[in-house]
Amino acid sequence: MNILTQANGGLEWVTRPPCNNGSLSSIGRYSFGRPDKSFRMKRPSFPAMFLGLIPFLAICFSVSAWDRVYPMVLGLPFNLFWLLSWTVLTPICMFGAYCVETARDAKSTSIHDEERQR
Amino acid sequence: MKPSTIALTVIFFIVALGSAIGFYSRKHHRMNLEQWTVGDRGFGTLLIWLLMAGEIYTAYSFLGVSGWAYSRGGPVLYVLAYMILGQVVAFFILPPIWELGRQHGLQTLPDFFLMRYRGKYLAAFTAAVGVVFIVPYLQIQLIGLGIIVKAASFDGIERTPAMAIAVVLLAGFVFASGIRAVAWVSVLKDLLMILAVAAIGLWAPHIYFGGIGRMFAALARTKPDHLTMPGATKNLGHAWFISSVLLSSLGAAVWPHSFGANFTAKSADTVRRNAVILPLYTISLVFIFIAGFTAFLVVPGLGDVDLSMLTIVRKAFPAWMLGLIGGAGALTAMVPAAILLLTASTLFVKNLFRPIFAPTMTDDKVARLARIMVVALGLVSLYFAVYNATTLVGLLLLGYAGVAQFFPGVVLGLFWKRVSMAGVFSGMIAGIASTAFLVFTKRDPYLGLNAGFIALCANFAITALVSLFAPVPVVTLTEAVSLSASQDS
Repeated sequence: MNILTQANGGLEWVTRPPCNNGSLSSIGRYSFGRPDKSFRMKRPSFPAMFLGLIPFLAICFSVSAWDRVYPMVLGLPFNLFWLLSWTVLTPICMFGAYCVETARDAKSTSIHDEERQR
Repeated sequence: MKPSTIALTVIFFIVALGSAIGFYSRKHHRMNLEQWTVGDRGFGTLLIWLLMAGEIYTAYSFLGVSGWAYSRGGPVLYVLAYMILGQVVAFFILPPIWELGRQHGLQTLPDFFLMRYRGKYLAAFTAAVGVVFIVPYLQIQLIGLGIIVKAASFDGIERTPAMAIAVVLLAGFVFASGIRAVAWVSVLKDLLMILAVAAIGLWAPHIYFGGIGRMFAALARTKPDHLTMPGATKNLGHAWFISSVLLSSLGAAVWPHSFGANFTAKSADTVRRNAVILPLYTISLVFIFIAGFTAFLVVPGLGDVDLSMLTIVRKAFPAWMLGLIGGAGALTAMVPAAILLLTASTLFVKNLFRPIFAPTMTDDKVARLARIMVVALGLVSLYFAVYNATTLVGLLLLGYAGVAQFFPGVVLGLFWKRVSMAGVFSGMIAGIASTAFLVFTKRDPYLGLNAGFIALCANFAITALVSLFAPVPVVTLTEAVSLSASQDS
């Protein structure tokens, strides 16, 4: 139920192998037999979600704290300046999340390959 | 030469160049359904950036946002906030969706619902809802284009012929080159758009006040309330801001055309990287705010607030610049209109018409019919834009909140194993019905909160409760076989 408590739990689906013939009419055709282990749906990692939460806290939930005209910065009212600075700070946060997620993907792929070799 | 002739020539040149790029992008590609709808899943970081940026920056951002800054003031900041946060949401949900798209050959949002919940009627329902909300959105783009061309040509071109020419051109390049055309026309559109808004946002305050800082200082002196929430309105306060930003940022990724554009990427990493950098693009929105605020001081009391930006542009700039801005504005309407048209026709033919009425149709036939639907839907929205400009506005208001009701089905479908089709179906119906009730009875905002947000909460709750308490329907082998048979041909 709660996404956070199962942050790193993988979710496996019954899927069929990737379509290899390029045919798209196969949507809706499923194998109901053995789960296909080559595909695992992963939830985002906890550090990445935390980094994604920062812009939400700064831009959305804290609106009462920054929605004011003064002090003006760079000639802009404070609220506009605040949002403008988060157009730059958000990509920085998300770059952090990107690094976390790609590192995790690389790791899980290599573990997966080892499993397959065994 | 008369200023209107100069402006018209520049607009005409820009639109012609954009359309030529659209037609040319077809070269070396065979237009089957996969190529036409998702560009063979081969777009790299640059094309994806242009495509995604192309569809968030619509004629609405150009005219509507400056109009909000002009007429309502502070609450306009929600647009900037949700566009940034929408990319944060996209970062988490679009890469897994892309991955599923590659594995299962998904091309559209209803394809996802069909794959995840195995519900033919659920998928058809999402397709129908998608089309119903896309058509008014498309119509608004055309009306915006009409306004821009008319104003920029000093009333030299009337709205109707401008819209008609635009529909013919954009239906033409969508018909010929599909999504590839949209991405490539975005190249020109983005360049011009950024130039145009930066010119307006920097130059207009400079002419009248001697700089942006002085303009804001003057505004803060005369009307300090206009710059914060609720601005010139009574009910758009902080609670409304939070609920609207949440609703729109969650809903942004599940608009059917954004969902489909995601599948054009060549890897999940491309999608993720794009979500990281796309908030930078919203910086240009600040210039549009500035234009609206400047207009508030320089040309107060306009009857049609959507004209605030163009009025100040006409006052402050020479004719060729007006033509450039008009051309950029025209492309800004045509690019999103093109992708909306493409999405609506694919949804209609592939996810609504085929499964219900013509299960034996092949993909090639779907592609052919979808291309014909592009022309048909283009004409339908042109008709509405010309003859019926007001009635669909209600649908559009509903659309922004209504499309967000797809979100629980998508995000729970991705990350929660137990969610069932019954849960998603009932949650979605409850969400759309309560949005429609609140919007049509003029109860938006309700209790200071965005009506769509309230509906989204109800939707989440019902989806979760029904999924938990109703038994998960077991798909029997016979059903599975008949389902897959109905999809194959």
